[in-house]
Amino acid sequence: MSNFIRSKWFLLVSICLFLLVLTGLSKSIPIIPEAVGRYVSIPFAPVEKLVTMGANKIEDATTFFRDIQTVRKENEDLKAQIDSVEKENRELKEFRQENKDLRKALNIKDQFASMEPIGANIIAKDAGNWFDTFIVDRGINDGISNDFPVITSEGLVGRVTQPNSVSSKVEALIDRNTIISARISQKGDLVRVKGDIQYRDMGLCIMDRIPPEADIVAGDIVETSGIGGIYPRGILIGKVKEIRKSNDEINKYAIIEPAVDFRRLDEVIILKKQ
Amino acid sequence: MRNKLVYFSILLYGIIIIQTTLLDYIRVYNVKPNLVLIFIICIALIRGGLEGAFFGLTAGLLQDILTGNNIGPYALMGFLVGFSLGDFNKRFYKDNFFACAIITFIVSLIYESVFFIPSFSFYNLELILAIFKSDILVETVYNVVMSVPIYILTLKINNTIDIKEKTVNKY
Repeated sequence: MSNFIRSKWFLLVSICLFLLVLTGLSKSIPIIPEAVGRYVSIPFAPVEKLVTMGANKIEDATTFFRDIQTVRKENEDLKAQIDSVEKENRELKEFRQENKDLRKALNIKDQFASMEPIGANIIAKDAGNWFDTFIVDRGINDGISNDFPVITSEGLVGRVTQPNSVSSKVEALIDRNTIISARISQKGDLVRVKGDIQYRDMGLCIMDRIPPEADIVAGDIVETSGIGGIYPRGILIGKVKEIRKSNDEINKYAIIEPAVDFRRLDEVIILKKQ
Repeated sequence: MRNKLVYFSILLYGIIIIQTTLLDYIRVYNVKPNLVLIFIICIALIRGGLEGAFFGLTAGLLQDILTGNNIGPYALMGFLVGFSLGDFNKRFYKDNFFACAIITFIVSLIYESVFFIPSFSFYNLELILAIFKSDILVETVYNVVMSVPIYILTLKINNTIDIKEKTVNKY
Protein backbone atom coordinates (compact mmCIF):
# COMPACT_ATOMS: atom_id res chain seq x y z
CA MET A 1 0.00 0.00 0.00
CA SER A 2 2.75 2.45 0.94
CA ASN A 3 4.46 1.59 -2.37
CA PHE A 4 1.31 2.55 -4.22
CA ILE A 5 1.08 5.89 -2.40
CA ARG A 6 4.61 6.71 -3.49
CA SER A 7 4.08 5.59 -7.10
CA LYS A 8 3.21 7.88 -9.98
CA TRP A 9 -0.13 6.12 -10.42
CA PHE A 10 -1.25 7.44 -7.07
CA LEU A 11 -0.37 10.95 -8.24
CA LEU A 12 -2.32 10.36 -11.46
CA VAL A 13 -5.44 9.07 -9.74
CA SER A 14 -5.48 11.71 -7.01
CA ILE A 15 -4.97 14.68 -9.37
CA CYS A 16 -7.62 13.35 -11.79
CA LEU A 17 -10.10 12.88 -8.93
CA PHE A 18 -9.33 16.36 -7.62
CA LEU A 19 -9.91 17.92 -11.06
CA LEU A 20 -13.16 16.02 -11.56
CA VAL A 21 -14.44 17.23 -8.19
CA LEU A 22 -13.29 20.77 -9.07
CA THR A 23 -15.22 20.63 -12.36
CA GLY A 24 -18.36 19.55 -10.54
CA LEU A 25 -17.96 22.16 -7.83
CA SER A 26 -17.32 25.03 -10.24
CA LYS A 27 -20.40 24.00 -12.18
CA SER A 28 -22.69 23.95 -9.15
CA ILE A 29 -21.08 26.85 -7.26
CA PRO A 30 -20.42 29.61 -9.83
CA ILE A 31 -18.74 31.78 -7.19
CA ILE A 32 -15.61 29.61 -7.39
CA PRO A 33 -14.68 30.30 -11.05
CA GLU A 34 -15.73 33.93 -10.60
CA ALA A 35 -13.51 34.50 -7.58
CA VAL A 36 -10.50 32.80 -9.20
CA GLY A 37 -10.99 34.41 -12.61
CA ARG A 38 -11.27 37.90 -11.14
CA TYR A 39 -7.61 37.95 -10.12
CA VAL A 40 -5.97 35.54 -12.59
CA SER A 41 -7.23 37.59 -15.55
CA ILE A 42 -5.55 40.82 -14.35
CA PRO A 43 -2.04 40.16 -15.80
CA PHE A 44 -3.52 38.88 -19.07
CA ALA A 45 -6.13 41.50 -19.99
CA PRO A 46 -3.83 44.53 -20.68
CA VAL A 47 -1.43 42.52 -22.86
CA GLU A 48 -4.29 40.87 -24.72
CA LYS A 49 -5.78 44.29 -25.36
CA LEU A 50 -2.47 45.60 -26.68
CA VAL A 51 -1.89 42.60 -28.96
CA THR A 52 -5.43 42.64 -30.37
CA MET A 53 -5.32 46.39 -30.99
CA GLY A 54 -1.98 45.98 -32.80
CA ALA A 55 -3.26 43.08 -34.87
CA ASN A 56 -6.41 45.03 -35.80
CA LYS A 57 -4.27 47.98 -36.92
CA ILE A 58 -2.11 45.72 -39.11
CA GLU A 59 -5.21 44.07 -40.56
CA ASP A 60 -6.68 47.49 -41.37
CA ALA A 61 -3.44 48.59 -43.03
CA THR A 62 -3.21 45.52 -45.25
CA THR A 63 -6.78 45.84 -46.46
CA PHE A 64 -6.48 49.63 -46.96
CA PHE A 65 -5.45 49.62 -50.63
CA ARG A 66 -7.86 46.88 -51.59
CA ASP A 67 -10.64 48.84 -49.94
CA ILE A 68 -10.05 52.08 -51.87
CA GLN A 69 -11.68 50.84 -55.06
CA THR A 70 -14.70 49.43 -53.30
CA VAL A 71 -15.00 52.58 -51.21
CA ARG A 72 -15.11 54.79 -54.33
CA LYS A 73 -17.94 52.77 -55.82
CA GLU A 74 -19.73 52.57 -52.52
CA ASN A 75 -19.47 56.34 -52.15
CA GLU A 76 -21.33 56.91 -55.39
CA ASP A 77 -24.04 54.46 -54.42
CA LEU A 78 -24.38 56.00 -50.98
CA LYS A 79 -24.75 59.53 -52.35
CA ALA A 80 -27.66 58.27 -54.40
CA GLN A 81 -29.19 56.69 -51.34
CA ILE A 82 -28.93 59.77 -49.13
CA ASP A 83 -31.86 61.60 -50.71
CA SER A 84 -34.34 58.82 -50.22
CA VAL A 85 -33.05 58.10 -46.72
CA GLU A 86 -33.41 61.74 -45.67
CA LYS A 87 -37.02 61.70 -46.68
CA GLU A 88 -37.56 58.47 -44.77
CA ASN A 89 -35.77 59.93 -41.77
CA ARG A 90 -38.15 62.87 -41.58
CA GLU A 91 -41.09 60.48 -41.58
CA LEU A 92 -39.50 58.28 -38.94
CA LYS A 93 -38.91 61.25 -36.65
CA GLU A 94 -42.62 61.94 -36.76
CA PHE A 95 -43.31 58.28 -35.98
CA ARG A 96 -40.90 58.35 -33.06
CA GLN A 97 -42.68 61.24 -31.46
CA GLU A 98 -46.00 59.57 -32.09
CA ASN A 99 -44.70 56.31 -30.61
CA LYS A 100 -43.44 58.13 -27.53
CA ASP A 101 -46.80 59.82 -27.00
CA LEU A 102 -48.70 56.57 -27.47
CA ARG A 103 -46.42 54.68 -25.08
CA LYS A 104 -46.92 57.40 -22.53
CA ALA A 105 -50.66 57.16 -23.02
CA LEU A 106 -50.62 53.37 -22.63
CA ASN A 107 -48.11 53.53 -19.76
CA ILE A 108 -45.73 50.95 -21.28
CA LYS A 109 -42.57 50.62 -19.26
CA ASP A 110 -39.48 51.13 -21.39
CA GLN A 111 -37.04 48.41 -20.39
CA PHE A 112 -34.13 50.20 -22.01
CA ALA A 113 -34.66 53.39 -20.03
CA SER A 114 -33.11 51.91 -16.90
CA MET A 115 -30.02 50.68 -18.74
CA GLU A 116 -26.80 52.52 -19.34
CA PRO A 117 -24.83 51.57 -22.47
CA ILE A 118 -21.09 51.01 -21.95
CA GLY A 119 -18.78 50.64 -24.94
CA ALA A 120 -16.23 47.78 -24.82
CA ASN A 121 -13.53 46.31 -27.07
CA ILE A 122 -13.09 42.60 -27.67
CA ILE A 123 -9.56 41.80 -26.51
CA ALA A 124 -9.41 37.99 -26.69
CA LYS A 125 -11.34 34.98 -27.94
CA ASP A 126 -11.90 31.48 -26.57
CA ALA A 127 -8.72 29.37 -26.53
CA GLY A 128 -10.31 26.37 -28.25
CA ASN A 129 -12.61 25.81 -31.19
CA TRP A 130 -15.66 24.44 -29.37
CA PHE A 131 -17.11 27.51 -27.67
CA ASP A 132 -17.91 31.03 -28.76
CA THR A 133 -16.93 33.10 -25.81
CA PHE A 134 -14.77 36.18 -25.85
CA ILE A 135 -13.16 38.61 -23.45
CA VAL A 136 -13.98 42.34 -23.40
CA ASP A 137 -11.98 45.09 -21.73
CA ARG A 138 -14.60 46.13 -19.17
CA GLY A 139 -15.00 44.50 -15.79
CA ILE A 140 -16.27 44.84 -12.23
CA ASN A 141 -14.33 48.13 -11.94
CA ASP A 142 -16.63 49.58 -14.61
CA GLY A 143 -19.72 48.28 -12.85
CA ILE A 144 -20.19 45.20 -15.04
CA SER A 145 -21.99 42.28 -13.46
CA ASN A 146 -23.19 38.80 -14.42
CA ASP A 147 -25.91 38.43 -17.10
CA PHE A 148 -25.66 41.98 -18.47
CA PRO A 149 -26.84 41.92 -22.12
CA VAL A 150 -24.23 42.64 -24.79
CA ILE A 151 -25.31 44.23 -28.07
CA THR A 152 -24.01 46.21 -31.03
CA SER A 153 -25.85 48.79 -33.11
CA GLU A 154 -26.95 45.89 -35.34
CA GLY A 155 -28.45 43.63 -32.70
CA LEU A 156 -27.90 41.14 -29.90
CA VAL A 157 -24.40 39.70 -29.28
CA GLY A 158 -24.88 37.72 -26.06
CA ARG A 159 -24.47 38.19 -22.32
CA VAL A 160 -21.76 38.61 -19.71
CA THR A 161 -21.13 35.22 -18.09
CA GLN A 162 -18.25 36.12 -15.81
CA PRO A 163 -17.10 39.61 -14.87
CA ASN A 164 -13.45 39.91 -13.80
CA SER A 165 -11.71 42.96 -12.33
CA VAL A 166 -10.68 44.65 -15.55
CA SER A 167 -12.19 42.31 -18.16
CA SER A 168 -15.30 40.17 -18.62
CA LYS A 169 -16.18 36.91 -20.28
CA VAL A 170 -19.02 37.20 -22.79
CA GLU A 171 -20.97 34.24 -24.17
CA ALA A 172 -22.00 34.83 -27.78
CA LEU A 173 -25.50 34.14 -29.03
CA ILE A 174 -24.13 31.37 -31.31
CA ASP A 175 -22.36 29.51 -28.48
CA ARG A 176 -23.71 26.00 -27.95
CA ASN A 177 -24.66 26.80 -24.34
CA THR A 178 -26.80 29.81 -25.17
CA ILE A 179 -30.58 29.65 -24.92
CA ILE A 180 -32.66 32.79 -25.40
CA SER A 181 -36.40 33.30 -25.20
CA ALA A 182 -37.43 35.10 -28.37
CA ARG A 183 -40.47 36.19 -30.33
CA ILE A 184 -41.25 36.75 -33.95
CA SER A 185 -41.75 40.49 -34.48
CA GLN A 186 -45.13 41.51 -35.81
CA LYS A 187 -46.55 37.97 -35.42
CA GLY A 188 -45.78 37.71 -31.69
CA ASP A 189 -45.19 33.93 -31.55
CA LEU A 190 -42.91 32.94 -28.67
CA VAL A 191 -39.95 30.74 -29.65
CA ARG A 192 -36.55 29.71 -28.35
CA VAL A 193 -33.25 30.66 -30.00
CA LYS A 194 -30.15 28.64 -29.20
CA GLY A 195 -26.61 28.09 -30.37
CA ASP A 196 -25.68 24.94 -32.25
CA ILE A 197 -22.28 23.36 -32.97
CA GLN A 198 -23.23 22.56 -36.52
CA TYR A 199 -24.23 26.09 -37.60
CA ARG A 200 -21.93 28.10 -35.35
CA ASP A 201 -19.03 27.93 -37.82
CA MET A 202 -21.18 29.77 -40.36
CA GLY A 203 -22.19 32.34 -37.75
CA LEU A 204 -25.76 31.01 -37.56
CA CYS A 205 -27.96 29.66 -34.77
CA ILE A 206 -31.24 27.77 -34.60
CA MET A 207 -34.76 28.51 -33.40
CA ASP A 208 -36.98 25.78 -31.96
CA ARG A 209 -40.09 25.35 -29.78
CA ILE A 210 -42.03 26.84 -32.67
CA PRO A 211 -45.77 26.65 -31.92
CA PRO A 212 -47.47 24.29 -34.45
CA GLU A 213 -49.97 26.94 -35.45
CA ALA A 214 -47.34 29.62 -36.02
CA ASP A 215 -47.02 30.78 -39.58
CA ILE A 216 -43.33 31.48 -39.93
CA VAL A 217 -41.64 32.17 -43.24
CA ALA A 218 -38.07 32.86 -44.25
CA GLY A 219 -37.23 36.52 -43.73
CA ASP A 220 -39.26 36.92 -40.52
CA ILE A 221 -37.54 39.09 -37.93
CA VAL A 222 -36.71 37.51 -34.56
CA GLU A 223 -36.21 39.62 -31.43
CA THR A 224 -35.80 39.03 -27.70
CA SER A 225 -39.05 38.42 -25.86
CA GLY A 226 -38.05 39.98 -22.53
CA ILE A 227 -38.98 36.75 -20.73
CA GLY A 228 -36.32 35.40 -18.40
CA GLY A 229 -35.11 38.72 -17.09
CA ILE A 230 -31.71 38.83 -18.78
CA TYR A 231 -32.45 40.55 -22.08
CA PRO A 232 -34.88 43.45 -22.33
CA ARG A 233 -37.68 42.98 -24.81
CA GLY A 234 -37.20 44.01 -28.41
CA ILE A 235 -33.48 43.58 -29.09
CA LEU A 236 -33.05 42.39 -32.67
CA ILE A 237 -31.60 38.85 -32.84
CA GLY A 238 -31.74 38.24 -36.58
CA LYS A 239 -33.96 36.90 -39.31
CA VAL A 240 -35.23 33.46 -40.28
CA LYS A 241 -33.06 32.01 -43.02
CA GLU A 242 -34.63 28.63 -43.53
CA ILE A 243 -37.32 26.43 -41.95
CA ARG A 244 -36.70 22.71 -41.51
CA LYS A 245 -38.58 19.71 -40.18
CA SER A 246 -36.94 17.94 -37.24
CA ASN A 247 -36.28 14.19 -37.25
CA ASP A 248 -39.63 13.28 -35.75
CA GLU A 249 -41.41 15.03 -38.70
CA ILE A 250 -43.85 16.73 -36.31
CA ASN A 251 -41.88 19.64 -34.97
CA LYS A 252 -40.02 22.14 -37.01
CA TYR A 253 -37.03 24.32 -36.36
CA ALA A 254 -35.55 27.27 -38.19
CA ILE A 255 -32.08 28.47 -38.95
CA ILE A 256 -31.53 32.05 -37.83
CA GLU A 257 -29.09 34.44 -39.38
CA PRO A 258 -28.05 36.79 -36.55
CA ALA A 259 -28.07 40.51 -37.31
CA VAL A 260 -24.56 40.70 -35.88
CA ASP A 261 -21.68 39.34 -37.97
CA PHE A 262 -19.69 37.41 -35.35
CA ARG A 263 -16.68 37.02 -37.60
CA ARG A 264 -16.13 40.77 -37.81
CA LEU A 265 -16.81 41.83 -34.28
CA ASP A 266 -14.34 44.24 -32.62
CA GLU A 267 -16.49 46.52 -30.48
CA VAL A 268 -19.63 45.86 -28.48
CA ILE A 269 -21.99 47.68 -26.12
CA ILE A 270 -22.74 46.28 -22.67
CA LEU A 271 -26.12 47.27 -21.24
CA LYS A 272 -25.55 48.10 -17.59
CA LYS A 273 -28.60 47.49 -15.43
CA GLN A 274 -29.16 50.05 -12.72
CA MET B 1 15.28 24.76 -11.08
CA ARG B 2 14.32 28.37 -10.51
CA ASN B 3 15.52 29.25 -13.99
CA LYS B 4 13.41 26.51 -15.50
CA LEU B 5 10.31 27.69 -13.69
CA VAL B 6 10.84 31.26 -14.93
CA TYR B 7 11.34 30.07 -18.53
CA PHE B 8 8.24 27.86 -18.39
CA SER B 9 6.11 30.63 -16.88
CA ILE B 10 7.13 33.15 -19.54
CA LEU B 11 6.53 30.55 -22.27
CA LEU B 12 3.10 29.67 -20.87
CA TYR B 13 2.09 33.33 -20.55
CA GLY B 14 3.12 33.98 -24.16
CA ILE B 15 1.31 30.91 -25.51
CA ILE B 16 -1.95 31.73 -23.74
CA ILE B 17 -1.86 35.33 -25.03
CA ILE B 18 -1.16 34.17 -28.62
CA GLN B 19 -3.79 31.42 -28.42
CA THR B 20 -6.54 33.82 -27.35
CA THR B 21 -5.60 36.75 -29.61
CA LEU B 22 -3.39 36.31 -32.69
CA LEU B 23 -4.48 32.81 -33.71
CA ASP B 24 -7.93 34.13 -34.58
CA TYR B 25 -6.36 35.99 -37.50
CA ILE B 26 -4.91 32.83 -39.04
CA ARG B 27 -7.96 30.60 -38.96
CA VAL B 28 -8.15 27.98 -41.73
CA TYR B 29 -11.70 26.79 -42.57
CA ASN B 30 -12.75 28.76 -39.49
CA VAL B 31 -10.58 26.58 -37.24
CA LYS B 32 -7.53 27.67 -35.29
CA PRO B 33 -4.71 25.39 -34.15
CA ASN B 34 -4.35 24.44 -30.50
CA LEU B 35 -0.98 25.93 -29.59
CA VAL B 36 -1.36 25.05 -25.91
CA LEU B 37 -1.84 21.35 -26.70
CA ILE B 38 1.15 21.31 -29.07
CA PHE B 39 3.39 22.83 -26.40
CA ILE B 40 2.20 20.34 -23.79
CA ILE B 41 3.09 17.50 -26.19
CA CYS B 42 6.51 19.00 -27.03
CA ILE B 43 7.44 19.60 -23.39
CA ALA B 44 6.30 16.12 -22.34
CA LEU B 45 8.35 14.57 -25.17
CA ILE B 46 11.47 16.61 -24.49
CA ARG B 47 11.47 16.98 -20.69
CA GLY B 48 9.57 13.88 -19.63
CA GLY B 49 6.22 13.01 -18.11
CA LEU B 50 6.44 14.80 -14.78
CA GLU B 51 7.25 18.19 -16.25
CA GLY B 52 4.85 17.57 -19.14
CA ALA B 53 2.04 16.74 -16.71
CA PHE B 54 2.81 19.80 -14.57
CA PHE B 55 2.92 22.08 -17.63
CA GLY B 56 -0.29 20.52 -19.00
CA LEU B 57 -2.07 20.97 -15.68
CA THR B 58 -1.05 24.63 -15.31
CA ALA B 59 -1.77 25.49 -18.95
CA GLY B 60 -5.16 23.74 -18.76
CA LEU B 61 -6.07 25.49 -15.51
CA LEU B 62 -5.26 28.89 -17.04
CA GLN B 63 -7.35 28.03 -20.13
CA ASP B 64 -10.27 27.01 -17.89
CA ILE B 65 -10.06 30.12 -15.74
CA LEU B 66 -9.52 32.64 -18.54
CA THR B 67 -11.86 31.42 -21.27
CA GLY B 68 -13.57 28.20 -20.15
CA ASN B 69 -16.99 27.67 -18.65
CA ASN B 70 -15.89 25.54 -15.67
CA ILE B 71 -12.57 25.04 -13.91
CA GLY B 72 -11.28 21.53 -14.52
CA PRO B 73 -11.91 20.02 -17.99
CA TYR B 74 -8.94 21.56 -19.86
CA ALA B 75 -6.70 21.09 -16.80
CA LEU B 76 -7.60 17.40 -16.60
CA MET B 77 -7.00 16.84 -20.31
CA GLY B 78 -3.72 18.78 -20.27
CA PHE B 79 -2.51 16.83 -17.26
CA LEU B 80 -3.43 13.47 -18.82
CA VAL B 81 -1.72 14.34 -22.14
CA GLY B 82 1.50 15.39 -20.39
CA PHE B 83 1.44 12.38 -18.08
CA SER B 84 0.70 9.75 -20.73
CA LEU B 85 3.45 10.97 -23.07
CA GLY B 86 6.04 10.74 -20.30
CA ASP B 87 7.35 7.31 -21.27
CA PHE B 88 7.74 8.20 -24.93
CA ASN B 89 10.60 10.61 -24.37
CA LYS B 90 13.01 7.78 -23.55
CA ARG B 91 12.10 5.79 -26.63
CA PHE B 92 13.25 8.00 -29.47
CA TYR B 93 15.91 10.54 -30.33
CA LYS B 94 15.01 14.06 -29.31
CA ASP B 95 15.94 15.45 -32.73
CA ASN B 96 13.29 13.29 -34.35
CA PHE B 97 10.50 15.77 -35.02
CA PHE B 98 8.68 13.26 -37.21
CA ALA B 99 7.73 11.32 -34.08
CA CYS B 100 6.37 14.54 -32.57
CA ALA B 101 4.18 15.10 -35.65
CA ILE B 102 2.72 11.58 -35.44
CA ILE B 103 2.06 11.87 -31.71
CA THR B 104 0.45 15.32 -32.23
CA PHE B 105 -1.84 13.74 -34.83
CA ILE B 106 -3.03 10.97 -32.51
CA VAL B 107 -3.29 13.13 -29.38
CA SER B 108 -5.16 15.97 -31.17
CA LEU B 109 -7.73 13.51 -32.55
CA ILE B 110 -8.40 12.07 -29.10
CA TYR B 111 -8.22 15.43 -27.25
CA GLU B 112 -10.72 17.23 -29.49
CA SER B 113 -13.04 14.21 -29.69
CA VAL B 114 -13.29 14.13 -25.90
CA PHE B 115 -14.64 17.70 -25.88
CA PHE B 116 -17.12 16.79 -28.61
CA ILE B 117 -18.47 13.61 -26.95
CA PRO B 118 -20.91 15.46 -24.60
CA SER B 119 -22.77 16.72 -27.68
CA PHE B 120 -23.20 13.26 -29.26
CA SER B 121 -26.69 12.76 -27.87
CA PHE B 122 -28.02 15.76 -29.83
CA TYR B 123 -26.96 14.57 -33.27
CA ASN B 124 -27.31 11.59 -35.57
CA LEU B 125 -24.31 9.70 -36.91
CA GLU B 126 -24.24 11.56 -40.21
CA LEU B 127 -23.96 14.94 -38.49
CA ILE B 128 -21.38 13.70 -36.01
CA LEU B 129 -19.18 12.56 -38.90
CA ALA B 130 -19.67 15.88 -40.70
CA ILE B 131 -18.65 17.91 -37.63
CA PHE B 132 -15.77 15.50 -37.05
CA LYS B 133 -14.52 16.20 -40.55
CA SER B 134 -15.08 19.96 -40.58
CA ASP B 135 -13.75 20.69 -37.08
CA ILE B 136 -11.69 17.92 -35.51
CA LEU B 137 -9.88 16.69 -38.61
CA VAL B 138 -9.04 20.20 -39.85
CA GLU B 139 -7.69 21.18 -36.43
CA THR B 140 -5.68 17.96 -36.17
CA VAL B 141 -3.99 18.56 -39.52
CA TYR B 142 -3.36 22.20 -38.59
CA ASN B 143 -1.83 21.10 -35.27
CA VAL B 144 0.45 18.59 -37.01
CA VAL B 145 1.71 21.28 -39.42
CA MET B 146 2.37 23.69 -36.52
CA SER B 147 3.93 21.01 -34.30
CA VAL B 148 7.18 20.70 -36.28
CA PRO B 149 8.39 24.33 -35.95
CA ILE B 150 7.15 24.46 -32.35
CA TYR B 151 8.98 21.24 -31.51
CA ILE B 152 12.22 22.65 -32.93
CA LEU B 153 11.68 25.89 -30.99
CA THR B 154 10.99 24.04 -27.73
CA LEU B 155 14.09 21.91 -28.28
CA LYS B 156 16.19 25.08 -28.68
CA ILE B 157 14.72 26.61 -25.50
CA ASN B 158 15.34 23.34 -23.68
CA ASN B 159 18.99 23.25 -24.76
CA THR B 160 19.45 26.84 -23.58
CA ILE B 161 18.02 25.96 -20.15
CA ASP B 162 20.22 22.84 -19.93
CA ILE B 163 23.39 24.73 -20.81
CA LYS B 164 22.61 27.49 -18.33
CA GLU B 165 21.90 25.00 -15.55
CA LYS B 166 25.12 23.15 -16.25
CA THR B 167 27.17 26.34 -16.05
CA VAL B 168 25.43 27.29 -12.81
CA ASN B 169 26.12 23.84 -11.34
CA LYS B 170 29.81 24.11 -12.24
CA TYR B 171 30.47 26.83 -9.72
